[in-house]
Amino acid sequence: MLLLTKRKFFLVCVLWMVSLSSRAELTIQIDQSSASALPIALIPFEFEGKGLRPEAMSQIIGQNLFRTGKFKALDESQLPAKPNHLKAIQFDRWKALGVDNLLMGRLIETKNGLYQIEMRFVDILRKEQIMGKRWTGITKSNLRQVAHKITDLIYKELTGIQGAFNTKIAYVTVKTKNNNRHFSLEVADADGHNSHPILRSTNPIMSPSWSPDGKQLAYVTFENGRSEIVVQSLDGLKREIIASYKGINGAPAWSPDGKKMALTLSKDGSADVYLMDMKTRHLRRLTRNWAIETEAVWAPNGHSLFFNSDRRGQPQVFQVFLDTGEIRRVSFIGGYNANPAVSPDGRYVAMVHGHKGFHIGLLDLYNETFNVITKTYLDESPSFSPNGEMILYAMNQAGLGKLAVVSIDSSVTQVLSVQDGEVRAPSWGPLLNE
Amino acid sequence: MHWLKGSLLGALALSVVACSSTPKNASEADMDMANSEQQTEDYAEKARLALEKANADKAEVEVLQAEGVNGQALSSEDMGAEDLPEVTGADAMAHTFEPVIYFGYDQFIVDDTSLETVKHYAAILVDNPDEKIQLIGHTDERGTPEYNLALGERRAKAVAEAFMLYGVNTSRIAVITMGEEVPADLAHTEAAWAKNRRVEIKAQ
Repeated sequence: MLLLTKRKFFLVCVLWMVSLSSRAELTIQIDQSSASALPIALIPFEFEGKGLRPEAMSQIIGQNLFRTGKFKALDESQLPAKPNHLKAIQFDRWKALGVDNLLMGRLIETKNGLYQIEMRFVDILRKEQIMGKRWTGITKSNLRQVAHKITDLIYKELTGIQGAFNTKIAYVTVKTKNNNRHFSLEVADADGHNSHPILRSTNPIMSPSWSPDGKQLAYVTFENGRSEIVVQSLDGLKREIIASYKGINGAPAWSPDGKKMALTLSKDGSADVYLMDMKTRHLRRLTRNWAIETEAVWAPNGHSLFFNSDRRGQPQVFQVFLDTGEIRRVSFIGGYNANPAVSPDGRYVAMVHGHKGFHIGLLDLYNETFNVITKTYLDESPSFSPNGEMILYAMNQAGLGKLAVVSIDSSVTQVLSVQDGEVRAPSWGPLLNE
Repeated sequence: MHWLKGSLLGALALSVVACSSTPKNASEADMDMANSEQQTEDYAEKARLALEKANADKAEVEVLQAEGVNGQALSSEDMGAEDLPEVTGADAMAHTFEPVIYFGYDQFIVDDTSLETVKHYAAILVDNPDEKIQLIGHTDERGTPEYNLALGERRAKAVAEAFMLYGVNTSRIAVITMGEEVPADLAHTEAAWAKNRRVEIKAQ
């Protein structure tokens, strides 16, 4: 017999969110910050309780705002005072520092070991409180989340734009131990904190895609020796292989209403885009071409999808309309445009642009302009923040796979990396209305 | 390996089948009468062992490649569609074919050198009708992961077609793609990328 290698035993273990061991915390390095960032005063929250304060709320908020490139919190040593209520504020002193807005708050440990958080946001020019909120019954582990919500409120007040601070990101880490690669699908807060593995495997994991309700991830697994698509709930209670057809099972993308999934299959020949009804599992073939057609993503209105096709010889981005089946080419600049991502307002299509290396290109569908917005190396897997201001993507720096965040105007860049491995395949989760 | 020619030239193939009952006997029948059946089996056995060894110990295969053992395969004669070169049993025994087909950037063309490798393993399969293979397509890390998943399949299918050209039925070939996910060389250099753009031939 010609049996050469025994079928490998594929070790896959699904880890629940409770596993806190061997965290792969992302560290953020902000490469570039806008010089036009507006100063803002964030007074350290007063802490009432036993022992040390559990979280530095004002610092978390300050870091969140700093990463937008639009605001810069005064350094704590620069603060002329630390007022704790409106009447204690000497407005002229803050005005002299060029500060228009001030945040103060309290963090109170209550009897049951829970916390109460209060915040007051003050307009220095009008000399009045413009927002005051209180949260009660908050666990220690949820304090960061409250800080992100406070940032969302401040950001919306100051810019009119919905913040994306209280959101999650998913990504895959790769660590090499004894010449074996270990893959982990992780979910973390958008600032890189609070990472949890939801799947570990000795086989590759690709293309995580969030369900619109933020409760499930679809992704590509190779745990059975070839590509298959899995849907897994974040609480780990549900995990199901939904596509295991002959050939490729890849590029899952949930429809905006969560009822369908676009995916790439090659069961009928070459790679084509299909739609799966998530309830009936019925498949509808969307593209029919001898070429490679893959990486489909939905327009926010759910009426069309953008996808990558090399029917013209090289990968280019096309759009297919569901009602008519009409297909039109979208990208025209450069010989390689792939892996589209659509902004939440439908205005922009980000894509991997291959020209003197691989960078993220941004197509403005309103103005029909195209700009390359990244300068890093081997850029891929762009994913918009749910408020459309930032793009999270994967790149390579010093031989290591890392994640980066760039603002769509290319003015702010951050790098996210893990200490002892590589990161790839990022996907920014949806806004969660709670 | 006259049977190869036979399988490609319809008329000859018919005559071969007409005077033989099994594929192995077919090749034997078409061979010079001086070549005994024993020799045919020796060739198949040696090639099979080479494939087994290559799959079992990949590092060793890479060392062999570094030492230029594959040079003989590289120096094989040009091959037009109408003029298929023949590899005699003795020649085949002298060669070690790494069970890997390499590709140019964004390419899926099986070149002449690679066709020699395909021919070599196709001969083993023809001689061992119960055996099946997996063709596992890979790409380098450049470009997008999902596109590369499809490109890896395209490469594996191109190799599968070459196997079919040499008489291996499609039912004996499983095409698998790993895209850019399983590089042979983890470095981010042109040399590493060249090693990673490949289709591996493995027994099922």
